Amino acid sequence: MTIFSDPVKTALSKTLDAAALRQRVIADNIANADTPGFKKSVVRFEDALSEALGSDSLPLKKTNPRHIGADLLTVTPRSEQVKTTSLRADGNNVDVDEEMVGLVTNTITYQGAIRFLSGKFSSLRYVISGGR
Amino acid sequence: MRFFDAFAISGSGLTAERLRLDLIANNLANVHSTRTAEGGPYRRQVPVFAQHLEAARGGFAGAGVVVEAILQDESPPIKVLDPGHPDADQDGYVNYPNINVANEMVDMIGASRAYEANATVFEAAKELAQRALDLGR
Amino acid sequence: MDVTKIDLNSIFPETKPRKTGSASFGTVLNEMLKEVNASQVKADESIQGFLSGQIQDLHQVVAATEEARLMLELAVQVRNKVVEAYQEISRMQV
Repeated sequence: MTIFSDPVKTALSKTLDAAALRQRVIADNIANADTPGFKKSVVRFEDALSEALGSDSLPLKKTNPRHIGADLLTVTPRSEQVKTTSLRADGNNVDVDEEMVGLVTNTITYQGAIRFLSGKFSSLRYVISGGR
Repeated sequence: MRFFDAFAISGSGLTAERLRLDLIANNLANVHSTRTAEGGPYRRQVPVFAQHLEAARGGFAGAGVVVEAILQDESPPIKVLDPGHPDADQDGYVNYPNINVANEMVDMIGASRAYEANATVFEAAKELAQRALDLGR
Repeated sequence: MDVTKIDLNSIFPETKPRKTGSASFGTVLNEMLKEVNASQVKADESIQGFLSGQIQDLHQVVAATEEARLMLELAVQVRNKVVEAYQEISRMQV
């Protein structure tokens, strides 16, 4: 944590981590779309993140709104296998269309997070250089 | 140096589906081949896809797909009565490869679609990487 | 010589609140230099991690190097202000 840290920047950074992991997971699902017996994976993150952002985290008394709650720092994106039974004879449960929708959503999310994080850095730079 | 698992994963999918397409193309090309180096008619070839796993990096072990083996279809050849054919056996039957052209075509479309899907995912990964480099600019 | 305490808030608003009571400017400066150094080390580590394939995510490396860069810029600006203030004081007629 530096003097530049704030909860939003931390949340953005973790969102980027999650989106990058999700990209790999989707890539693996698509690459194995024809592999017999393969079970797809998903990334679980957004629920944990919104919980951490919304929580008051009572143990840590926040005297300054920029104090980051302990919850937020411990949230990590995770991948887990989805072992649903499939309708296909070979036991594969990958739904290519679903993965493609996830891919587009993920790409936009990543691009958005980069943009907002970039904005934060630019603002800091502006302030540091004295508004010049 | 190993960069970018995401590219490697999609790349493995591209390689596997391309191999599948090559095998299908070979099957179709040899649909009337009554002779092979091992003797007997051509036998349909099928790839066996398997999940490729690697030591979990960041909790995710998936590393794409790999073609474990290329199997030969063991189903019996189709016998056609044609005593005049140079490869006819004593009863006058010629053994032709047991390849269903319609099935191979369906397979081919499936493999092409899968290839395209992997290419799309690859493009997305490339986009993410390039955007990351612009952070802060 | 009593150096007038320069308020970091004028350069970067809302810094982490320090302990109340008179923290001398020297201590504040020291703390900041430590953080600058730490951020440089962190940035270098993330670059190494990327080159060796340990770190797969580009954005982590870019964010770390940007932070380090900003810390350095801030430190340089503060140094400039300190030098300016010193020069101004030394120009004062006694």
